[in-house]
Amino acid sequence: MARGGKSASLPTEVGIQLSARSWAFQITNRRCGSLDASQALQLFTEDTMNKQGLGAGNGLHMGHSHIWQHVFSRRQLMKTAAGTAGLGMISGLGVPKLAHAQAGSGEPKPIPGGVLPFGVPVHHFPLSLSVGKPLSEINDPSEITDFNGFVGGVHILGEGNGTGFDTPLAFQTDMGFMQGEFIGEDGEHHNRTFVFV
Amino acid sequence: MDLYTGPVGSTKLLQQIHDYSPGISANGLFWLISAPHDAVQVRLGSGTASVQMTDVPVLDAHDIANALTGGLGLANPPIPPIAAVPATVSFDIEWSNVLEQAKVTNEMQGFTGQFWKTGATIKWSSNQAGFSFDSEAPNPTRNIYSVIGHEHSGAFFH
Repeated sequence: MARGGKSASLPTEVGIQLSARSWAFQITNRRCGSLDASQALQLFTEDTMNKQGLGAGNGLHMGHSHIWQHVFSRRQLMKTAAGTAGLGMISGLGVPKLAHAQAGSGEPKPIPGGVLPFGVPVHHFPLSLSVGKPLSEINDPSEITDFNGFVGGVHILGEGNGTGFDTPLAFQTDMGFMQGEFIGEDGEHHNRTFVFV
Repeated sequence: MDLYTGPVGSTKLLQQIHDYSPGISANGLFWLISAPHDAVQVRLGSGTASVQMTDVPVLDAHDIANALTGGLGLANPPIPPIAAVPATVSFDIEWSNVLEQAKVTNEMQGFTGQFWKTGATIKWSSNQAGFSFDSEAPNPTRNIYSVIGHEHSGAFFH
């Protein structure tokens, strides 16, 4: 529980502020740190028209507060992701088995698009590009494709107590779930439940 | 699941001190874990859902930059490389209080479905060597944007 018994209210404007888990809420044109906020907001899609491409220098620099559409082929995406994110480095630390899912297994396939926080392509869309956007404009809450089932997503800010801190810590949670039928990497139909943490 | 120094709403990278996720799978699945079926309860008819899990093994990458770069840090802004350490998280998320309902179809992203924009709360905690965190009690005013729904995507889209 929060110390002091006082709950701070949420800010009326929730800027992106270099946080990949708040990739999208309330896009502003202000600069955050040394990066423009919109740098964390580039979307990429696999099958839309390509106006920007992935030429040198355009992968990160954005001087505008609107969304840029990039086209990534899945091959480009995985090559970039593996090279940039050092995916192999996260294995072997006791994380759930799914974190080691391989192509060809019965695990689900990621959605073909996503966002590029800090230039790193990830198969995830923020729920909405601004707090006030209507529901009809949400992005895909699911992280798996060839999917037929229940889905949910939340973005919640709050506070709590952490060991060694006299004042409350702020938290941000961008989480969700997928539950139902999907066609796995093995081409077979499966029915399982997943949680985005 | 991110922690920052500063008041509620602080989400600046340079204030981040913990970043919990299960990692990115070899095929690109992003921060996704397999869960028991009964960990997720969905009742679309009443516009409610819940997710409850306990002691889920994750990695604490310290900050989002190191979480995304596999501990390599960033050059600009200067975020030093930090190796991830094991941790566990527990969470109870509740969706309720329907605010809006709509059928959504997005040809570009390849999904369609019926969705409910709702209120939501979370109570969560983390544990690792030398540190633990307990969130405040579930507080509906903390919700920024939450949805539940049923969708078809990819091969099920058309």
